[in-house]
Amino acid sequence: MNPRELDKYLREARVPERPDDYWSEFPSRVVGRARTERVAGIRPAPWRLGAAAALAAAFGLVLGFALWHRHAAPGDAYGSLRDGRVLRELQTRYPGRLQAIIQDGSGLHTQLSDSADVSASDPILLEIRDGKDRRVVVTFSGQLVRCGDRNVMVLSDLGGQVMLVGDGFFWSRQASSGLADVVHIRAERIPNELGRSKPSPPL
Amino acid sequence: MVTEDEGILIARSRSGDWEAFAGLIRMHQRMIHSLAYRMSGSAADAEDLAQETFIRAYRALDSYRGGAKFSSWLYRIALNLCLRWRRLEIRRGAADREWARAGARDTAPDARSERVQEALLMLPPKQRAAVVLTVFDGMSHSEAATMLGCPEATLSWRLFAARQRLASLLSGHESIP
Repeated sequence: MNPRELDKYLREARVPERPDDYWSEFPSRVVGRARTERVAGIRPAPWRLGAAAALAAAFGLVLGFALWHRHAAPGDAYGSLRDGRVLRELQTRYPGRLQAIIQDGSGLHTQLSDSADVSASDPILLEIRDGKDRRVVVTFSGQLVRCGDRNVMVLSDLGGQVMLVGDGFFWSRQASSGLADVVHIRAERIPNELGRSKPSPPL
Repeated sequence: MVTEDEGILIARSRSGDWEAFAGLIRMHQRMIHSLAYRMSGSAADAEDLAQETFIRAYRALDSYRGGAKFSSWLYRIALNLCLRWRRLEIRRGAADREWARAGARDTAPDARSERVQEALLMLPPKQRAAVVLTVFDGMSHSEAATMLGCPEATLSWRLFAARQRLASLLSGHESIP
């Protein structure tokens, strides 16, 4: 088969036909998603997270958050993230890429890895109060999160104890060091059945 | 570098006119779906990739300066997503890959198209992209090299290697699993 014959053979291969309905509805579906994201006011987190952030340049907008946000009490970010629905939806949407969901004063943000390399450990829920600022984070053992003015690694041991470790910084429920007086932390592992999602084919 | 109608739709989309943005999608949706299918081999993945392309385009609409054709700008977004999709796909388990391949078989329009698509999927992603851009979408080597961000000589080499492999696969000298 010479190059000309090959090109002709290739060009005769067709792509799947789709019904007319598909083409007329596709723009509406995209616009619907774009509108939802815009109404939710979700935008990329304004800060970066150390070495892990090199893999996490993409900050996704969250599909469907507007619906959840409408049902959640404004100050109850901890509860709405703890119930696992947001986590399940985002894990399904971004299989293996979701590093953290962050709720703070400016809205809900997601932190995504560029590749599907986030291990499927139990989710960890953190509430970090730094003076008047409050941030609720769902993340996983081994991920970096912002705590006060520094990046810290979130770790969880086999017994379910959560620790935050950073440069000159340590926090667990029992002990802490290097923590400013105005910073208060609450942490817990989310039960498996709440946070776990069924795997789905990645994009 | 945009048509008058397209320019109006872009301007209106930037100011929040959803119907205008839907109009832009209608103008380019078939091109983007076709590229995504050639690159992914899956109708379902092509739909996801196309949707993600337009969402990203919407978010980045303010950054489109009009220096290139709008379709080329959109095409580049889609191509980058498709190349990235391949990196994710490599990490899929064997079962997932088989599921995707079965999906491609179910959606291919005929046996020849299916055979070509499976052969394309056996190429490294950048070689596949070189074939899709030049053979299917009719770009010159120079245009395709610009789109892929590589020297023209690299593009030509990828195309040469891809043609060798495709000829071998499609003439039966090498089997398609």
